[in-house]
Amino acid sequence: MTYLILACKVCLGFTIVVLTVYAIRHYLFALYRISLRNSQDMMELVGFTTPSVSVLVPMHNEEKVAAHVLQALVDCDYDWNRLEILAIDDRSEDRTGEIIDQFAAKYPIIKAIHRSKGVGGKGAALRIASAQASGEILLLFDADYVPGRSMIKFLIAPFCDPEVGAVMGRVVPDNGGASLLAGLLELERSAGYQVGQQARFNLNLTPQFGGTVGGVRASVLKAVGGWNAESLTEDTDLTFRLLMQGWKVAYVNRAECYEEAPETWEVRSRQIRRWAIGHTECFHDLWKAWLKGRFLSTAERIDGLFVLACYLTAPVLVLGWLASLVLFFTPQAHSTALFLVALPFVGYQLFGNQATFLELGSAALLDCNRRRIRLLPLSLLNFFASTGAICQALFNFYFGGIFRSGPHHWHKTVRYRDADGSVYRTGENADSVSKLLVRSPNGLYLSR
Amino acid sequence: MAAWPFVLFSIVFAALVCAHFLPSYRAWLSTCGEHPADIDPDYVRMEDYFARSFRLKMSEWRKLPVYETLPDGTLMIRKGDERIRVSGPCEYPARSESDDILAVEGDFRCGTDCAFNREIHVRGNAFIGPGTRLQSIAVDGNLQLGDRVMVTRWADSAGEMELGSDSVVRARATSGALIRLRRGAKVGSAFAPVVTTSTRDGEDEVISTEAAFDRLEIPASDGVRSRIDAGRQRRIDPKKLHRLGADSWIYRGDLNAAAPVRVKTRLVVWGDLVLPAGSIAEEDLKARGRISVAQDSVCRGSVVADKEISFGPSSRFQGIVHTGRTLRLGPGVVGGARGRKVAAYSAGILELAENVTVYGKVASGEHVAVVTGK
Repeated sequence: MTYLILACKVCLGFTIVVLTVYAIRHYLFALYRISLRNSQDMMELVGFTTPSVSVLVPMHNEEKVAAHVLQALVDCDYDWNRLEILAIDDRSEDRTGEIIDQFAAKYPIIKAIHRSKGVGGKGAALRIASAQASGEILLLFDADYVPGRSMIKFLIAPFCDPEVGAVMGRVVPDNGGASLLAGLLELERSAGYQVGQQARFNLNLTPQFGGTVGGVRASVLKAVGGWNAESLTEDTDLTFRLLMQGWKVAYVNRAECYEEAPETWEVRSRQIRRWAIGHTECFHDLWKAWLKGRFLSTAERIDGLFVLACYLTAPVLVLGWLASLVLFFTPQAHSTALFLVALPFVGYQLFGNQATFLELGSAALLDCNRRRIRLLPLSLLNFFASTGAICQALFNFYFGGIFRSGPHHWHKTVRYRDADGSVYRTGENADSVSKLLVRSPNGLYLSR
Repeated sequence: MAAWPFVLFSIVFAALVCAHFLPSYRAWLSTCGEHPADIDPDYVRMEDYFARSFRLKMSEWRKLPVYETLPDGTLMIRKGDERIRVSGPCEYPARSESDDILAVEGDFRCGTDCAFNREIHVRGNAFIGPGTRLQSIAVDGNLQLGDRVMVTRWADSAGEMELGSDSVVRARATSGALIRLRRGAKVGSAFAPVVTTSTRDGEDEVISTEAAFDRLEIPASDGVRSRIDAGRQRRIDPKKLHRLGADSWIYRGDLNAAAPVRVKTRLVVWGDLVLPAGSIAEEDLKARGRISVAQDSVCRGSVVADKEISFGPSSRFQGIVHTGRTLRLGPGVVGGARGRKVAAYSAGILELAENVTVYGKVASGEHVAVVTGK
């Protein structure tokens, strides 16, 4: 009994320390972001550099959205003489391949790649496509994204910095009003990008390449060994291999792209389980090499570990709860002072779903979404659901006999958009000045 | 022990919890079905966006009904609480003031110390008297801003634009031909085929600086070696040079060669970088500290630094320049070339000396200033 109580105290203390450290980290991010200092802004340089670009769009059963993303990419304001779009049909069983072929026949800048065998999954598809890409910069978009016309120029601007190996734009859920979950995820994404990613970039820490709405130098990708087809989160894996070898990841807040967030808890659960396993796999694969990384600063090493281990905080928290329950029912004297100090930090972290209220609220304010700030208390629901899903995933990961998940199949989020073939546009917000522009034969938009 | 205190406590606690979530629930109901963020996927980034947008709106406003015609033929149009004054060529005397949006079908002139608190669109040329204050102006011809003119927002001209001494354009100055900045002029950013502080018409001859120098190559082409400047005891330490990728190298520490260098590859310096006079950088450069490019040097790729960047007299850059602090372009610096636009940006102040020419854009998080005599 004594040992049990001691173990519970150690466990609870460890939980408090871990969550407090994470809470302070996100608190600092929010404070820094609010101060609006951004010395690494490259938006004024957009359009002044035009390297050759290959856009990779891996697809598996994406007939609902394939036409939208391909049309949006064709409509991008970039010199077609320096642009190619590689649409990868990875063993689709619907009309995805047919749609890709239609676009490839119509637009010479689109190349269709059809895969019918080999290792499955997004990473494997990207490996095949990257080998065929001729561009200096490889940009990636998932099939359910709709890039704006200037997106390519926004994303390639940071590559004028020779230290930048990869770039990440911002993902904005477009269906935030479709369900409570989607609304809460919109808040979460906003905090993660508007505050988290931007702060980490400004502070020269570890902004993450997210595998979509982003890009990587082709030469750098080759130098670090290419895409890891074995990883569930090939983007996280690539991020850390890039950083360890001395490259930087740039974050472009202005490169905003709509995505579809999960609208049901079941879909969200599948998504976050995959992220949790993928991240944790990366943690186990890379943490030793990460700590030894000779091109990394101490701050980068520490922040990178926080990023890699972020999903481990969920089981740590659950163990802390269990420990506190045991201690509650045992007649032990506890340090009131320590409890009073720890409680607000733990509570702050508890309701933020790995981001503090301040970070969520700051992001909503920066996005001028003041009304959505009032949704913050409801994020508790998302937090409990996510914690449960992550714990379940990690339990299977550690105790399910699958330390290495092995080759993966496609793990996609459900698509909610109607497959009516029309180009996805907001319509009512279309800028009138843009309507005055005409398309030149080489793809650039010019004034009439 | 009576249970009612606990029951009462539970009810009050439950009520407080519900009260905590009630505003959230109501916020959810009110935002249900909305787009959380408005992204315009049709947006195409343009340097002269404000001017284009204003000209487009003016073309629509001109079609609104005229509510009054003045004796001089000026048409008055009302748009909500605002008035639009449509006139032919006009000249405003000194110390004139106007709160109307002006649409001038011809040349526009104003005397000293005038104040125009709304936008101005000029079909012809515009000559703004010294000390005048404008909100914003779009000119289809040439625009000349006199000394000490203040434009609180943007200025655009299809023809040439000249900013007089100590004049200020707080936001963006754009021109389809040329922007000339006189001593003391300041802008937030300036974009044109040619942006210059030269006082002479015509382009300065760009003298080739690739004279026959005995340049030290980085990385060395004949293997790793160190070279010591016997007089100054400065060297490039090959132990600090690491390959980052197939076409990129890292130098860990300050790089301050005493002799001219030819940097043949992309180079990232973890410290300050000094390129002596007559150096050539063929690819992109990055320093986590400062970059100092001495006179008559050429940078063919981009130049990026976390701290200050300075270009010495008659040096050239042919790619993007970006710094997290101050950028100084010394006398005679040339950025870009005809038909090959570049951009120079500093998060702090961007200082332009005399006879600086940039083909493209100069921009700053604070302001771009013409500083002579340094």
